[in-house]
Amino acid sequence: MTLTIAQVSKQYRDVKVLDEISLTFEIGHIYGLLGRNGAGKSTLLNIINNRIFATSGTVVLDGQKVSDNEKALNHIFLMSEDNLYPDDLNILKLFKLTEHFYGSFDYEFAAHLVRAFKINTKTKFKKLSTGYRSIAKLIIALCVPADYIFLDEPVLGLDASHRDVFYKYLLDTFMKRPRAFIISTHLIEEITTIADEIVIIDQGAIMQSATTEQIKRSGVRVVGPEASVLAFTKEMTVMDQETLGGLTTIYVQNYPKNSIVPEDLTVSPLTLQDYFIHMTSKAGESNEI
Amino acid sequence: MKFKTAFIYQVKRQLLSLGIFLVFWFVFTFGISFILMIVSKGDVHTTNDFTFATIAYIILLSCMMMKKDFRFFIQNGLSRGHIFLVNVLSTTLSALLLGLMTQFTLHQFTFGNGDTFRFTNIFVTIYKPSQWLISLGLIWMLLLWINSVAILVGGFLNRIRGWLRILLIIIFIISPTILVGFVGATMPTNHQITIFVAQCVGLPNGLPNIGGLSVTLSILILINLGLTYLFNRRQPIVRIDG
Repeated sequence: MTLTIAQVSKQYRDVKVLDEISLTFEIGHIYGLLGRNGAGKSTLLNIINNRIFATSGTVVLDGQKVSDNEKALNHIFLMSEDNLYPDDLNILKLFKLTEHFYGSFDYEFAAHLVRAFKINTKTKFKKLSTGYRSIAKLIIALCVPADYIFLDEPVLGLDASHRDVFYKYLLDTFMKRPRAFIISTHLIEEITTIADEIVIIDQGAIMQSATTEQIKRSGVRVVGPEASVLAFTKEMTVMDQETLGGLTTIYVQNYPKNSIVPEDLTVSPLTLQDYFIHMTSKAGESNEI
Repeated sequence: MKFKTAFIYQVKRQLLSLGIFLVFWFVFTFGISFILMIVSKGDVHTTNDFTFATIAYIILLSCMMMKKDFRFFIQNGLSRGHIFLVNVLSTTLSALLLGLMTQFTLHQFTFGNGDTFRFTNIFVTIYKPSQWLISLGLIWMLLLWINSVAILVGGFLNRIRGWLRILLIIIFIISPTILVGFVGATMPTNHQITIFVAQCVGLPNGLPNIGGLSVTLSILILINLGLTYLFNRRQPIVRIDG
């Protein structure tokens, strides 16, 4: 089963939020969808999940158009920051309704999650705190029988302990029943440990789509005297540049493996967060200190 | 599966809100009426019109569905076409139940030779339907028409924004004047306009004609539902919170 996003664009009046995005999501992977605020992540997820319409382009699941197609929509599920659930229903009722809408619901796993998060299923949705609302929505998302689970800022309002529980159970359910999880988040370091594929969006366009390992390997920081750093990185793909005191740092993408590093320079790998920050740093955001 | 679940969910919620509405309405109406009867020692004639309360209820019901249920159904993967159909079917059922309640109330709750305390419905009073079923049909169609107007207005406000909304509202306000002017120019006398309008509302020569009114209501309901479908066909989820 393959979910294909083909040349999807979204325009609001003069603002182009998404610009011909093309992506493929496969079952058996956990994708991290990264992007700065306003990059277009939520817009893309909302288009895929039939909440809004693309200005152009298509979303196709195994040859079937997803937009307003219930058969295809039964295979995908979006848990988002927006609350689309009725406030006056309790969590157990929401589980039951989700079961009826999707055909089944993993009550056994839901019971584990309910215990782990210590959430009362008889509580009405409107009585829950922001964190517990996220938890309730997460439990539903992890227990629906859909093959593509989109999680938009899933850990919003969750403390470190609850986030840990969530990641643990996410991996647990993924191992038991491989699906595609697409997680949009700002907590990059946390996603690094669970996502095997990373998609970076910036200003409505895909900047990079690769495995987490490839991205980790490809980014380095070169530090040293300015002239030396510039000469060494002349033929490389430079993402960003900083000057601190007399030292210059250049952030390089696709660093050649067998490069011979001059003695006055230091080359060190980037964390995914650093890679992301310097890849998406915008013109006008000066790094000069 | 999704359609059936959505339909059952919406009908259950409508029945619940219908029950709450009826309990409040009866308690309030009986309460006031009995207080009046006790205070006046029975020497009072109390008439309670059921019409406006039911109209207010059906409008509220439509508004509730337009916003909350739409979002919930989209979350659960329903198509917009099915959401529209669920709305139409469930409100048709609710309007029928409300019509039945109205009929029941009109016929059952009458005290003191029907003079001391009774319920009325303004449309039943005007059109004087000869049979119980015709009376029910009349109330049902009126409620459906009001519901179709409410969901059309809701759909319009959801989808059309900014200057276009203002422009269309202005056109809507002045259109009767333009229409009357146009019809007046094409018809020889104002008398014919009056006859035409009277036939449309089912009151030719001042005499009630439910058949004429039913045809007019059916056409208006179909137009309203058609327009609502067009408004909702590509309705997006507007972000509210988060």
